[in-house]
Amino acid sequence: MLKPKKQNSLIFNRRLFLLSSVKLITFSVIFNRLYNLQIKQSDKYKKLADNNRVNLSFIVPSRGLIFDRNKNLLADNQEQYQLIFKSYNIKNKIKAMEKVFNYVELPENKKYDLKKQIFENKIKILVKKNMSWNEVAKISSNITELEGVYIEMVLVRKYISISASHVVGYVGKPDKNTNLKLSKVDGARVGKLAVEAAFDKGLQGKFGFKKEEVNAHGRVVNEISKVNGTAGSDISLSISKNLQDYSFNRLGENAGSIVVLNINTGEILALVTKPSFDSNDFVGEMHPDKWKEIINNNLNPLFNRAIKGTYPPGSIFKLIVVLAAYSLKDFNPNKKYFCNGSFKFGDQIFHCWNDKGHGFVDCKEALAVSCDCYFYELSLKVGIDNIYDVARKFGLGNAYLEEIYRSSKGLIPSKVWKKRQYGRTWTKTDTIVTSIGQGFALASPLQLAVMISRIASGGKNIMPKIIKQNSKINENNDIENINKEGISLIKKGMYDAVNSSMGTAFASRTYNSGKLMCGKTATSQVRRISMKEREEGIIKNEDLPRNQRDHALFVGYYPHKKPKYGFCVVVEHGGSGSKSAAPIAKDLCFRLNLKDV
Amino acid sequence: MKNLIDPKPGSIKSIFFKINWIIYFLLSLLAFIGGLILYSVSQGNFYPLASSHLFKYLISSIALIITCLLSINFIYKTSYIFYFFSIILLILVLILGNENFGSNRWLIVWGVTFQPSELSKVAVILALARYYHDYYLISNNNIIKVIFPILILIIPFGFVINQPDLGTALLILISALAVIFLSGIGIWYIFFSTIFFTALAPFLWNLLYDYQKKRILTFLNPEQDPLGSGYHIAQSKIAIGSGGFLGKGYIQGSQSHLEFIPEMHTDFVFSIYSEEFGFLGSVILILIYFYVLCYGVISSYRAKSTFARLIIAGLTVNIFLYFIVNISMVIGVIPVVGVPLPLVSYGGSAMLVTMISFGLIMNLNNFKEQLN
Repeated sequence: MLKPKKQNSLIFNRRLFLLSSVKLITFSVIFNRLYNLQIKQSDKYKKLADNNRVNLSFIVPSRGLIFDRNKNLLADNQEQYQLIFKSYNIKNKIKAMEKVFNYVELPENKKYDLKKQIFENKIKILVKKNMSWNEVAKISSNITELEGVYIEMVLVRKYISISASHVVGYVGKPDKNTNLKLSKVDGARVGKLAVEAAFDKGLQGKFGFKKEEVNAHGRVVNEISKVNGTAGSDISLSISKNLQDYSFNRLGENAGSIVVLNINTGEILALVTKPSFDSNDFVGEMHPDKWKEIINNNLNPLFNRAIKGTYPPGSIFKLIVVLAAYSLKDFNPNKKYFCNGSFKFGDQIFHCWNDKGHGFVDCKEALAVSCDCYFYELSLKVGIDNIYDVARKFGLGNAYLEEIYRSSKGLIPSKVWKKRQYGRTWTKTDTIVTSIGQGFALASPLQLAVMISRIASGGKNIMPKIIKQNSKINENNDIENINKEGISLIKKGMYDAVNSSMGTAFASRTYNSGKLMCGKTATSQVRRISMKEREEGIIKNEDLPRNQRDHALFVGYYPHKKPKYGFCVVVEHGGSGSKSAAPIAKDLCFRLNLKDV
Repeated sequence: MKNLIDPKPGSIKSIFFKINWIIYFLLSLLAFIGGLILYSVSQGNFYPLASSHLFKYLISSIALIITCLLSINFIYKTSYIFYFFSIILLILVLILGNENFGSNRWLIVWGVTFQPSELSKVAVILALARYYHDYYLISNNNIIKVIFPILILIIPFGFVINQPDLGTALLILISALAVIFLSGIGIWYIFFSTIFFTALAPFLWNLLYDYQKKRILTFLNPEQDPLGSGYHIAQSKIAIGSGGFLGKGYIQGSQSHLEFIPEMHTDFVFSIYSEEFGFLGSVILILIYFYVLCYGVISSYRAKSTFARLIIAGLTVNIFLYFIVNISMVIGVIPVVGVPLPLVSYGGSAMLVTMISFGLIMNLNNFKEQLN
């Protein structure tokens, strides 16, 4: 047996060895760990450190401005200051946020919402949009006290004129599904509608980006690199803001549309749809009440009537029938026809708008007084094929500016079309109904304006343009196989329709003898008048519910010599063309005389 | 070497040779590295951190020399007194203590802040060493070889855990248990107490403060809360990992200078060092510690008396724990516990205690004389 001291000494050495081995193992664990961190995974951690340190952000270029033809702004960029809270790296985020609340005025529910966002671990929180100067100054002078807060200047799209909303469109946040890359960029906006959408690429410009070194509190320490983007290019539209606004207001409470074309260049000077919406509402997040208001409006303000709205062209279509008649060899425009108020075809009776009849009328007079019976008869001679042909040549049934507005083609019926659509053959009755622009035929205000401009130009193939053109000369070709005589005849008819005492729009004539308006009224029915009603007396428009009232239409050009402007006025369910649409056209002509168009 | 010059005890010459100058040089190197990092942490400012650090090192060096001067008999005689003195300081902390960040650990004397729990680590080891030295004739399986030592360690442990300072308390506990283990107590005691504490673990868990529980849970599952408690460890790992082999260069650490690392001058000092000096620098630092600790282990093996051996071994374990707990924490091997890296971290108490410990190790190691 060993002495206790000796024995303990032995135990001590043994246990010391054991303990030291444990220490040695822990040392090797640490070496191994350091090796893993600093050698094996070093690249990963270097990247992480850079991610920490470097903040890559995009510089959103300023969006191209949209002007009207006279350099009036339609879409502008407005500087706005917004307060951003980056909760990254702050110990007591709620406390930091509450400190911020001392410097900006916010409603209680918004404050609650912001705090909720902190709990949701959102890193970048938008505290306040559109700060006042006072608030900007307050925050800036106390920025050192506030954690995680900074002020950001953003350019917000501002639309100047409600009347141009349908033309210009609006921008909005990029959609995640279609534009994933942009949707991740803060403050990026893309065009969503109309010109903003169609010319988005040019307007957008090129994104720049900057690398900044930030500290743990998200504050920028210094800028590492910066690549400036290029601002989007501006666009000048062909429309005139002044004329657009005027036309918009002139329509008053009515729903409808006004389209004015420059006959020489094909430029659209006004493309008005009423009612309209405010594009500014769509730029940020729309207030739900606002959206409800738009959706619940019976008149559907989101519907672009000027381009997508299609209406029965009514009496306006008679112009086409006359032009088509010139393709007949034996057509004599001077031959008188007796209108007794109705036209009998087989066992069917077709009525003239004037029950008493117009008496003897030749072609020009028939246009001026808009005698239906004359055209019933004429159309049977001309046939639908010719009418279809001429209608297409003069721009009906064709979609314009489709890539910008997804425009409607309207509808010009033909034998082939009816067979395909309804599986039935075309009948003469169809021709009769079509001859006065009722039945199947549909045209948009833009199409009608194109039609009247082509007629007024003496048969030039005018294409409507929404972008301002540099040349002022008419580069449009003549439409092929058009009888110039026919054109001059219907122009005379339209002259009489406004300027002769028997004309339908005589009340709306312009008195300036050097410059007179010419045009054609139309009152297009949206309902069928039954035999019974005819016997009992046709119910007046005023007594009908709105959606059964007739559409009032007017197409015209101005002035009568060397016409410069072609236009179309549609007052939806506005009653008669001569009472509702023509007076608007007359005012329009006065307005067109002013220099600022 | 030792046989060549054998100075008389007590003379100036003897003190000179008692001090192991290689070890002292390495300790100074550690303190210098500490100063270097503090200079970097203060964005290239010598004042106030680096200067204060080096000044504290100077004071601690004097403490080391004084400790070396003491005779083993004096240390033996005063070990219990020293122990009671440390307990009194802990009581004073409890009464007068300066509350800071929710815990009560510091005493302020003449404007100097001191952490008595650091001192009690040494005191417990001294007291235990004396106890076992006194009773080395009693069988290792005798219960009094366990009861009294447990009492000696449980008192300061209780005070410290009450502050609350789990890290230091555990360090006191482990280094004390190491001394008990080395004293040669019966193997069955070790066996049963292991089982006992394992069984007790769930109850001990409930005694922990919420933030302590959270730290442990976060450690076990760091992804659970990457921006919360786990955040500091994650950032510390990023700092160390991104340092690579050669580091980012002095005062170039982005993680530290952009304030991603918390407590840069105390607990997380190694992260900054490792980020700026890389794997190479870290290995050098760890090897210095390794060498210094090896010196402690060898010294305890060479020492003649039970008293000296246990003190040296206990203190070595203590310094080892400081070092290993701190580094393991910043590289994410163990949960966050507030333990400084001895001599490198800013903070006087730990530095003073470390230097005193080395003073004792050097002193007792070289003593030819037997304990009376």
